[in-house]
Amino acid sequence: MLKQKISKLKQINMNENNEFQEIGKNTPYKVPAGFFEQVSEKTVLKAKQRELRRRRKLVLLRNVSVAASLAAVFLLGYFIPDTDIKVESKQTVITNQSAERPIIQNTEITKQTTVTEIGKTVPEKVPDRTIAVETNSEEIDDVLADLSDDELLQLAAMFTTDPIVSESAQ
Amino acid sequence: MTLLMNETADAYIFSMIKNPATKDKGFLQLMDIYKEPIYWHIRRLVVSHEDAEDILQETFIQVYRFAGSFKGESEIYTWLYRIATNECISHFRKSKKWVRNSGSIEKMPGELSETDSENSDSILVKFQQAILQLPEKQRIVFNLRYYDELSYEEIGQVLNSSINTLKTNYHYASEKIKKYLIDHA
Repeated sequence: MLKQKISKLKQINMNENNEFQEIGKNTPYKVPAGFFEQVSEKTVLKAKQRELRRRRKLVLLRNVSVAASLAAVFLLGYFIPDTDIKVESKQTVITNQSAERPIIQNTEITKQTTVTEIGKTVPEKVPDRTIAVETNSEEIDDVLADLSDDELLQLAAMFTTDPIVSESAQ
Repeated sequence: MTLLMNETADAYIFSMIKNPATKDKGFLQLMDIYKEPIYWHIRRLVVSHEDAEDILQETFIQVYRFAGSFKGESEIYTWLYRIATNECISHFRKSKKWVRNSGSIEKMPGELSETDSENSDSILVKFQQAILQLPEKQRIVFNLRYYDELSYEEIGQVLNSSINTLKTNYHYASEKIKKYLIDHA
């Protein structure tokens, strides 16, 4: 029977419209009972669930992106103030230096002034020292004058025996 | 064409889908019109009912999601066929189940309804086996042209192919089917 049908198919000069007329448009596939009645509801339910899940994912993604951007800002904030501190410290150093500079300058000035004072005072001090030496010799003369003869003899003996005193005198 | 494509009805249904208040109602109406032809298109390509059900649902979920972005440049049914066909193709690629080599074809006679005669069962099974032997593109073109009775212009919109290519594909497909039926008679 099948062979006859196929031989018929061979014989017929089929054009596109009446091709496989013997077979028709049916298929051997079977569908479970009530499938088409239920599939619409099932699909709508599934589509809604999918939509809800997608929205949740979007919300989650948005939250994660916000959290990530906040973390990025925090990290940036962690590093940027650090560099700020460095800059500030540099600035403070500079400002300290600049604050110290006048002090140094002042010290220099004071040094200069002292040097100049010393320079100025040195010639003035020499007569002071000479005066002081002179005053010291006067005092020694006074002391010697106050000494007795025995004491003077002892002192002379000391002067001759003590090398340090004799050398300093020379 | 077996499908009664009423453009006004389609436009009305789509306006319902685009409105959030009437989205579900419009979607159910769209499914009521197109679920059967789309199911059979999928079923003829994937053979298994379970796979066909999954792909049908996936197709209409895509429609539910992207209905707002449908610009109406093509007919709704060609858009639906396009989504369904792409889902089938991605199913083939994912599962690598090219049904011509699977045992599901052998099980088909058992799945036939009891009212069908034994002879018609065998010829229908042979015919399906012949179609399943075809390369992917020829198979899709043959099914869309022979069973769904889409014009070449419409198939061109579904598959994004030129009319001449589709005609060639159909010609080769029908020749191969005839040869298969003769060889396996």
